[in-house]
Amino acid sequence: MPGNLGCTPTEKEKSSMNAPIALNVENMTLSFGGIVAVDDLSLEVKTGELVGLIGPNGAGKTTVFNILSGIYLPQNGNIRVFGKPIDGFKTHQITRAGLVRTFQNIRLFKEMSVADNIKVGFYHENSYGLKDAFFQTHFFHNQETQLMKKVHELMELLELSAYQNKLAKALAYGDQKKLELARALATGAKLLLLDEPVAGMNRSETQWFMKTILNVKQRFGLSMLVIEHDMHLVMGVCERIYVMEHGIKIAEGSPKAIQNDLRVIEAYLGKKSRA
Amino acid sequence: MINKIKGWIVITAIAVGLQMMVTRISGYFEDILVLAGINAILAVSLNWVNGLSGQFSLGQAGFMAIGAYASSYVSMFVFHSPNHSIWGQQGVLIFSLLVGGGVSGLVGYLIGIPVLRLKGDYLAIATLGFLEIVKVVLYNVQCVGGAEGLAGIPQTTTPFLVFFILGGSVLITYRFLHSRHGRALISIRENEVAAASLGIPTTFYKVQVFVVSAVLAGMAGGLFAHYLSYINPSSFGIMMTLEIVIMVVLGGMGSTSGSVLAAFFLTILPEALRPVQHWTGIDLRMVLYALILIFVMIMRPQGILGCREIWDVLPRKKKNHP
Repeated sequence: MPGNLGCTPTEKEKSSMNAPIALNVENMTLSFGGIVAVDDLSLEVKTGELVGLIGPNGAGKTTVFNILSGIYLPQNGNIRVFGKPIDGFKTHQITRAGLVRTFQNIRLFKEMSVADNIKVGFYHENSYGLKDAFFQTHFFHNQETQLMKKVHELMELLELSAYQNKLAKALAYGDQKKLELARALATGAKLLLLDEPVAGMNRSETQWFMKTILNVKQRFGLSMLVIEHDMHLVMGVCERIYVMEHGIKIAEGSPKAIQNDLRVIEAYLGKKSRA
Repeated sequence: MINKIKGWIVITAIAVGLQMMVTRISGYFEDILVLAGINAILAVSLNWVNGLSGQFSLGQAGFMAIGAYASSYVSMFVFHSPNHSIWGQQGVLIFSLLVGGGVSGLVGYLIGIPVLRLKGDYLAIATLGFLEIVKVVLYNVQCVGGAEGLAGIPQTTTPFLVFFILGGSVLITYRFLHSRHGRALISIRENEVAAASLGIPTTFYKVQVFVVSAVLAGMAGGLFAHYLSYINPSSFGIMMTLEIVIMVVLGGMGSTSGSVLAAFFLTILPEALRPVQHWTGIDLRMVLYALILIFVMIMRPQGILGCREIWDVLPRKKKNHP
């Protein structure tokens, strides 16, 4: 049963969230000067699916995320989030459309407490204006109390409750990753882009974190696109995998098919020598 | 109901108290206190931009000038009548302050939209350019006196009004910070990309804060003009801006109470050093002032209060924050 966390979608949003395709990218191209970072890339994430995006360093995976989250503007291509085209959307509008991301190098609000970090994620959950804040109206107090409840639920789910009032910068690495995930969940977006969620974690931490991710995916009915270098993990949990090299998609398919794909092996290990 | 406006009642009471206190002491101390209060409003206003939103503006004196001229214009040429009662005078002053703040806020909005695309040093230079433009325009507009300045502005600023506006701006800042809007703003300062990716409209907030800051600075400018009764464009130069910047930095970027504290400290300091001049016979005040500044910055580079607020530092009974 999905919890009542995150934005309560209106009827219209609900119907779009139920669209069979969570993310649809067609012929996306982005070049910086002469360097083509992403070349005619098409990919798709069905609702409820967990899709992997892998490739050697510099393949353009993070660039893809940056385009999808509105940081870069692609020269070409169509992107649809839950059936809604997001061309020309700013980052915050894309999040409202239902796509949220995490970052490879953690980007927390370091000088804010753990609870406040999550509250920022719940920004659109509350609707009181400046007047309510300045005069501390009932509406303001009610909404803040409601908000705190939701923050507590989310912190409990991700085992962050003990650090509620700690500054984000004081957390251990693994907890920072959890907090970033919690913050993303708070936005209520149903499509999560995770950029190397378990980079820098050891085997047991990785397992724990991946279990958590699968758990929240189930619970909130999320769809996910994951960049990850940990092949064990990618092959273990992803339903489908896209492989990129030099900005080009070189393979897609089930983990099994990818493992046996000649081009993928070449991209990672190099060509067999002719000798 | 009482609860809702409790904060505002406390502020009014404090302002009334200070008013009564100030009228019992000499005009010299009144001058210092009122100017310190006005400086504190300016510091609070600049803290919104430089401390809370993490931008860097050097244009604060420009907004102050706009507010000063606009409000003076209203009280001199629109509503001028020498025989207003005290309440009439205060009414005119409050209205002219609102006009001054409004005009300043409007200019802040128009300037903010293009200028806030810039960051860091570039933003500082662009706002400095804005300040110079304001000055040049004021030098050349004859209806507000041009280079001669405006003289004969009704001297209606009371300590009560200064401290009421100061208290109000501190209260508003505090409540803003403890709302979703304040959290959004701080998140932009901490990491703009992450804030945007969580659905925060970053540009909207940056412009909004710039406008709030301009309104407060405009009102402070109005109070300033109606206290000194004479202003000219050179009152609002780069030195004025730098003084405000020093207050914010010394108090601790992002700390509202720190800004107020530093504003009072730096306004009172040169006056407190007068006895030194008396003993030594040479004017060492500014040298000492500078040395004290250097000393404080070496000892506490993060400012007197750092990023915290005085009510976080002082011991108090534990209360569960919502």
